[in-house]
Amino acid sequence: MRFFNRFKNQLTWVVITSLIVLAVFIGNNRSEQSKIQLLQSNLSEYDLAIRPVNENKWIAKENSSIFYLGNGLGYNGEVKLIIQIDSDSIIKKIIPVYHQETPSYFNKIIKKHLFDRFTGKNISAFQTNQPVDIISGATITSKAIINAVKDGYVKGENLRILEKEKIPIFGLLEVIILFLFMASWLLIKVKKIKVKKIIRSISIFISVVFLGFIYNQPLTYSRLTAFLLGNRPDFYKEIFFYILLTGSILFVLFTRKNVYCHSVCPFGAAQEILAKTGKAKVFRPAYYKKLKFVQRFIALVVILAALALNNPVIANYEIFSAFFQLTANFILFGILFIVIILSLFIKRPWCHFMCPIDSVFDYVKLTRKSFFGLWKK
Amino acid sequence: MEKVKTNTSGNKFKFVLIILALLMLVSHLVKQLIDSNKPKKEMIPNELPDNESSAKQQSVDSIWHNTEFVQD
Repeated sequence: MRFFNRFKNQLTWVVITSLIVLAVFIGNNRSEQSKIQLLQSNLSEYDLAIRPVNENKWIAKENSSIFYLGNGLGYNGEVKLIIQIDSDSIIKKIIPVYHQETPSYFNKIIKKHLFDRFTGKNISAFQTNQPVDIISGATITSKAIINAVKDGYVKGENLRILEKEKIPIFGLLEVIILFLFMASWLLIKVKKIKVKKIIRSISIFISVVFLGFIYNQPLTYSRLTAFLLGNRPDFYKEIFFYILLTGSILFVLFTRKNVYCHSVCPFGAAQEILAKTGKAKVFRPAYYKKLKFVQRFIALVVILAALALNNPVIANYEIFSAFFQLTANFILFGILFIVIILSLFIKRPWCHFMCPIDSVFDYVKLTRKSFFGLWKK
Repeated sequence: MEKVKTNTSGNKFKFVLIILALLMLVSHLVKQLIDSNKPKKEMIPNELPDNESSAKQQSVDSIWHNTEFVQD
């Protein structure tokens, strides 16, 4: 018992980490089988008179239509499409056969007739890495769809993609994230309350407007799950994700402070604004620790299920998209409504009692505590 | 010892709202878990044109298993 009390943090860390590693292992082994099975089951719906040319290309016997199967990397994982073209290489139809994107978001893309916008275009235009005029203000999912079309065509025809030299894209979003981290660092260092208040107001405004409403790129649990499952965002195109993730973890490791939730997260900032509006107070009831345990327990069970089933969508329960993009199912909108009401009375109810990202940084803190503590001993 | 009086009805209201939100969260997670185990047929929003689907000579399923791929 004394041993347990002495090494409680380390033992907790070992148990959680082992469970996560085990779930990743189960999930990765499961994925290799289930994706092919899933594809088969989707394709067997259609009894077509087609013959295979290679793994990515089929030809229909009746009207010389060609079918390509392509992959693109979306927000949570692979997006698989079948692309149907006619004998003149003109796209006739795009059929999504597999994806791991948030259902409500993917349905929104379907309702916007994104797939119809491909029809009538010559597929050879997709061989280059030049932007194809399909979508303006393309999101990660819609880019994944374009990349899947490219992938199907290039692999089906044994072509080489004509790529420009790969340079990490460092744009306004990356500058904003670096600014928010710098502001967080200043908030730790600066002592004057007046200066702190000014920095805080600016960072809240920038976080809500840019990271929330304009780019809608907060760290999400499903994306972290996808990352653990090996669906890593393209470093050259989504460098902001790596800055957010490594920056947030390094801050916890070196300063013990969860600056992501405190100063970077756009929904945290939105709750701050609501708290100011309703003159909300810090809420620390007697059962606070129990509620905190429930929050962490849900986060752990969810990530283990999502990893073991190789389905990051399961881990998608944040209300960020509901707030910033009005995209979610009715249950998440209901939760958002309750959180907005609560935010007027208590400070950051979502962060303190529900958000899984808060639990992620609690785990990083536990890592720090476990090993930095041992090192000191 | 006399207890310090706090706004308990207010706290109860907040507690009820938090629990309600947590229950909704759990129901959302259970729904997602059930949906993830369903066949993904509903992911296909549109169907192939009739002219292709009517010509039933060889199913895609059997083609999938056919390993005689022709190299370009």
